[in-house]
Amino acid sequence: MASDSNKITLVSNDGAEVVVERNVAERSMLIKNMMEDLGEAAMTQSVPIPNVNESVLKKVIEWCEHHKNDPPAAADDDSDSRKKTTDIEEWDQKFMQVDQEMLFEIILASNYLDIKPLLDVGCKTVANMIKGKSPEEIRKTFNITNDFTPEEEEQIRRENEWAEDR
Amino acid sequence: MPPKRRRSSTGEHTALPVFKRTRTQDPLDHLSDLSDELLIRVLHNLPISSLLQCQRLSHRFYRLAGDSQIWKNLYYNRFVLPRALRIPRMRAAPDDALHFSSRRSKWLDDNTLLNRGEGKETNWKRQYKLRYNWSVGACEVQEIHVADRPSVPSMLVRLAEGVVVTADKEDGLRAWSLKEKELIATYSMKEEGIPTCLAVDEQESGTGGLGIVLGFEDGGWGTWRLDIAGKEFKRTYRHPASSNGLLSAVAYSNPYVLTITEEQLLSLYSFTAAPPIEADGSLVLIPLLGQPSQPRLLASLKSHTSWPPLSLSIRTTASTIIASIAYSLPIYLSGYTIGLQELHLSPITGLISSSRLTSALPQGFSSLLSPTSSSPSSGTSTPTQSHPFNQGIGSRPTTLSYSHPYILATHPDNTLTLYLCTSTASSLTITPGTKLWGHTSSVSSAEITPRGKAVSVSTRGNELRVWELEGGLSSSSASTSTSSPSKLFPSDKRRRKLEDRSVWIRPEPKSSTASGVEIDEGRGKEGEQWEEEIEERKRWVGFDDEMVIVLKESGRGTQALMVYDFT
Repeated sequence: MASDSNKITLVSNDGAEVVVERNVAERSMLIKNMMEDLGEAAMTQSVPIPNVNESVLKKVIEWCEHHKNDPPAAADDDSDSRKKTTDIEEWDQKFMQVDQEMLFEIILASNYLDIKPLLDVGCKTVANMIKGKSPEEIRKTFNITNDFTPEEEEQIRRENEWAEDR
Repeated sequence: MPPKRRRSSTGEHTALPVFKRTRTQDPLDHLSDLSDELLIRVLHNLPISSLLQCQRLSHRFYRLAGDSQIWKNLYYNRFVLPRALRIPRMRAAPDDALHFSSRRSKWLDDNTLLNRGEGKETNWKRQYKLRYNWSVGACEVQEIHVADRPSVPSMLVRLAEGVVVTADKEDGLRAWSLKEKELIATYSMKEEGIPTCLAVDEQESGTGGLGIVLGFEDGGWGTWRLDIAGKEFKRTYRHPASSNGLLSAVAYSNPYVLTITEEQLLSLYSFTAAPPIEADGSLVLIPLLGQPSQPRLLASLKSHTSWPPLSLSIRTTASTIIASIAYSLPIYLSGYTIGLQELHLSPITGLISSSRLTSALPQGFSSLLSPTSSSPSSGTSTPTQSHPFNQGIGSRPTTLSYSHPYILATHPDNTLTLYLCTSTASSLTITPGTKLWGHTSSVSSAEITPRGKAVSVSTRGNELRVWELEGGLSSSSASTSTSSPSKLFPSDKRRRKLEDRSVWIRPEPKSSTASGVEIDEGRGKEGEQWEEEIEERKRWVGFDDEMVIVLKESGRGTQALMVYDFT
């Protein structure tokens, strides 16, 4: 149990305790709201994070540490972040150099913990992996099963021909 | 591809057999672990080409990458935002004020984007594709054969609500559905006379019917109603022949009908009952119960200055009905320009409250025929100095298309001229014309919408062009402190810019259409077909959101409607 009043303890789904500064943990809107609801009581108890395992939780906290001083994101301005499509800042790019399993775990965790900027970085990273690839290459990259018949695939190809010369 | 296979948003998804989600997922496929919501978030970051590639991945990706939310966003960024930014005040507004606001779509977007009460969601991918095809001129062509011989006078054609209405002496009044490419209704003209002009009431959209007015050679006119679902024409009124002679143009905006004879006698009729005057002199409004059988003649005036071609229109606003006539106006020594007369009427009394006149005459010119244009009461003629090349004046227009605030004139010298009118409570003005280059042969017909989108066709040579003229005059005149002609027409640069606004429509070669004369590229063809094309004349053009219709007369006299489908 953390004695420091500015620290809280998070517990991953595999039972590991992670002590983290409160302002770092509050990059997660889920935790922030929980803290506000629980008040002082939260400081003395550990907070279970049932959907996230230890390694992912540590990775997410690493991101939060680095970004703890970022200005809070404008209230849910989705369109703005989408506009600047796939630019990712350098530190985040390095941070995201992980295997696919971890990458998708991070996306799921940031979605669950409600950390929008991290979720965006994750989605952009995936988008960059898709960009410029042929369907076959994308399937290979992500091991996606093709459940189309050849005729169906040909039909879709024709349907989308209009934009191919862009 | 068969035309219009998919019209609804749901159709796109059901076009493919939906498999049960079999658990064929690869254990290493982490991407497919994500929820639909998260995948859409990922897809939002992709450019269009990648989105379309993703649709080919699997059934699930087909659905997600075609998601309307994504395409709506793309549509806004590509087609709506640039337009919004052209409006000076919008540009000054904070950037994020321009992101999604449903309110904006009402005035910035074509009404196809609103769910026309069909309860269907807008399919944004389809909309995007449609706009994209327009912007690059990609479309498919089909022909509808309409007559075996040439018609004298030439066949009249109008397009509204996906229905083409044609009228000529032999075959009568006919309506063709563009969806099915077939004849849906006919009304014989045997007892009616020879139709000389045709107008469709466009304000009644969505009612499942079309109001049609026909003018005849004998000076009579009549109104019809086309029941689209019931596939039937019904004559609603017939006005007797008149000694004033042939009607050369009509306009219809229920309950008003505007006609003009060859002798330039303009008449405005109303189907509303005359308001009786109470004993105390006040007016009483009578609610309209159905269609009164007799129209009233509200106004009639004779013009000595208007020359054909001309274009009539009726606009209704909350407080007035504006009947206008756009006409060509000869200026001695210097060719022709455009004049516009507006009649303002009160919708309650039906009395003319004011009438005003303007022309696109540059200052300093005075037409011998229209002394009014220099008199103070005539509204202001456009304040311009004479600019380098006389853009506003030129050869006599072959046709005029007036759709407030734009007037588009076609010329035999391969050009079009665009005029912009400003009609306020106190004044009526027309800007000097802007020449539009691009065509390589005589322009035979053009049509413009109030949104500034225009389609023009040349008489010969299969040249069909789409113009996006909205920013052309309005934004440049707004951003460059107005009225300086040198700024409005900085010669070549400006000219080239306007040229770029038009897109030459190049239809994909069609296989297996009924009378498949392939359009475009007359070069690679055998002599015989080529000769036939030489003889072809394109008579009339009209368009809606998805299609362009051209009336074509071939050398052998057969007539056909060419349907250019952009979906």
